[in-house]
Amino acid sequence: MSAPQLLAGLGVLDLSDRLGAPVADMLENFGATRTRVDGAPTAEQLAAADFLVESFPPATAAELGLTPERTVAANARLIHVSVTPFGPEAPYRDWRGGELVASALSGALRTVGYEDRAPVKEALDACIFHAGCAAFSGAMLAHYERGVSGLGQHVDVSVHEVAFSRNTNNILTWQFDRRKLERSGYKLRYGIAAVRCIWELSDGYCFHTLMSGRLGAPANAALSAWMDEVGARNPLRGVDWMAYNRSTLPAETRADWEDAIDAFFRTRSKAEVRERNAALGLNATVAQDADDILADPHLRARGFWRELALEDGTPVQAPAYFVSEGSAA
Amino acid sequence: MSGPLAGVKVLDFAWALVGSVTTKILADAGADVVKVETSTRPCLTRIDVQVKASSPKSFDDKPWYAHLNTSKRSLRLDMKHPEHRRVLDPLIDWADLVVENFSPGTMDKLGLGYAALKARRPDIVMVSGSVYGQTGPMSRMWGIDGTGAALSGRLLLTGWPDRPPVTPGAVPYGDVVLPYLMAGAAAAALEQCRRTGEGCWIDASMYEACVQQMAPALTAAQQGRPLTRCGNRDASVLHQGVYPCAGDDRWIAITTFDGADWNSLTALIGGDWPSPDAVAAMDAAALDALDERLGAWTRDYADAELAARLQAAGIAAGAVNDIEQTIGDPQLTARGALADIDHAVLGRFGHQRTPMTLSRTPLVTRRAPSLGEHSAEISQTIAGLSPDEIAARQVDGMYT
Repeated sequence: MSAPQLLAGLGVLDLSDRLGAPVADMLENFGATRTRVDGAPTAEQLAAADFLVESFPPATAAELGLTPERTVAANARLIHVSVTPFGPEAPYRDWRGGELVASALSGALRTVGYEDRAPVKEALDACIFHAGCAAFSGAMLAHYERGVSGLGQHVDVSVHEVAFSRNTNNILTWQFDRRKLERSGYKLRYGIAAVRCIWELSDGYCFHTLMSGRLGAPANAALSAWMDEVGARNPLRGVDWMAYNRSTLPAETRADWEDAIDAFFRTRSKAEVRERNAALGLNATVAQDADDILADPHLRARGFWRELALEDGTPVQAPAYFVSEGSAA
Repeated sequence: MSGPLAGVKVLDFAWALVGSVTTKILADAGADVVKVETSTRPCLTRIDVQVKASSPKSFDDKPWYAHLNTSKRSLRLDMKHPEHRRVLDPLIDWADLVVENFSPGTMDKLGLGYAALKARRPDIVMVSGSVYGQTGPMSRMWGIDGTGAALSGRLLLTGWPDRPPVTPGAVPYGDVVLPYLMAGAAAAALEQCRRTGEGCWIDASMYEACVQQMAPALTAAQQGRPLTRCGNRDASVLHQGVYPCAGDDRWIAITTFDGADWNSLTALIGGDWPSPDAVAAMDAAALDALDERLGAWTRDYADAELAARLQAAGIAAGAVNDIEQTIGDPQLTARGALADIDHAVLGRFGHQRTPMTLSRTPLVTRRAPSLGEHSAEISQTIAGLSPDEIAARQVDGMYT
């Protein structure tokens, strides 16, 4: 598989830092030619560009003469993409922030972590990457529109607002019931229920939840059958899974089930969970590390990797695309 | 309709988050999105009861659906009814773009796979979202948001070094990140089609998109320095953490990107502090002790007030907002993150906009449809059915 080369022949001026890097990566991966520029681009560069990506604080953009008003006046077809912590509006326009601070103010950070400790950030740049995806989307919407009108425009994305957009369930429970969904360790909260979803294995961890209804029934029955097969204590035996509802299961029943599942998973290995999941459809997924991912036959079969040389010349495997182009054959 | 995709026609088979958010973006951007729905397999967000205002008996009283399906039209159609193609085929002829998020293979079984669509409409653009992608040995496996987190390494690397990993976002991630790649790829493919008349098929995998977010961990592992869980630390900034504030479960996040930031922070606190170089050289135990000392200072202050004070001194800081604080956040209000819209059943409330501002062709958020609200209108104006035939089909169950 490979990235769809839908932007071949187009040029991107990349003036961005860490906040704008993901969207510039995406435009390049879709076939655009990326030119990195430190500071302000030349008038020729600006006039020739199809996209400009930056993440300057608004005051710096003004100093450099790179406000969207100026750039789009210099090149009427230019799509100017800004990815900033908070956007150009008051009151936070001059506030500083990165992954952690934007996540904190968005409400997302508060939903991650154990109840007895501080909220904890998601791995690496989760919110910045999400904002990069949103900026890519906005740039492509503007790209389509430019094809119709011949005109470019400014696409403004704030990491803070994009991170906030993940809070849908939390927003609506506050809007309608004045309830707050707070962090709950390795559980997932569904309405009033907190359901465990991360389990220790003999050599790692896996993700698994008992899902309600038609979606979960076969997977839940498969887990129960596996527990029986190895002679584990199994309170799941004989449960009518079509009638099971994760939101209304009595707490003491859930506690007993989770004790048994916990004891069972502790005796299983990553390799066993992977093999049984593929064979039985358990909806249990190994929490993979980098080596697992790099060795995954599924990703290899899809051609997900390309070889890159690091600055010191070391060859590494890196993802080849963000989305791929399918084939009718 | 206005917006960057004004005039674009989208046939939407989404029933889960990945597809629904994709077509929300497109619909808010001005595309005419016809969401094909059925009561036998309704959109997940039409059935999950999360608030008191919702009931299991109605498909139209879920705010979850309302947030994620703004600006669309709804066609209720029984895909097993013998005559359903009388409506569906004209819609395929009408559409520029088809979006779906079934398990791979399902669209083929429905006679709606890319090969079949392309045979009828060589210029059609199709976007498919799934957990594993359309090909490969695991493609037929299903999963949920946490599946993508586990597969990609996000799960294993979120949390504290001395405890098991935590759920990486009690709010979804892959489910809401992938749609932006799908919508972006769709718009780019539509632009190519406008120029060349050629369609294409986009295969978007949540697993792969999440691995892209985790790419630095893959590089580090291949350099012999595999990453491990590290709480709130980040090797690419000088120092950061989350610290207690006055009140119950109140916290502040502070990032000092470099030595200048660190010097500003310690000057504001006062007293003797290690130099930036000393901080950069600290091991985990020394950093824990440093964080303890910073927390002893922050705990006397209110979260938002301290954040404002630090920001005034040029230091990146923010209260760890809960949802009440976030909804009241002045910056999110200034950006119009929630758009007040009248809902047919639930009344007026703030709906999430698609979080981006386009200067010349802004996106517009309009209310989500009731199930089948536009069935008759679409059948008549797009499929060309007569009012009598529509009435007959309503009786024989095609619109269920």
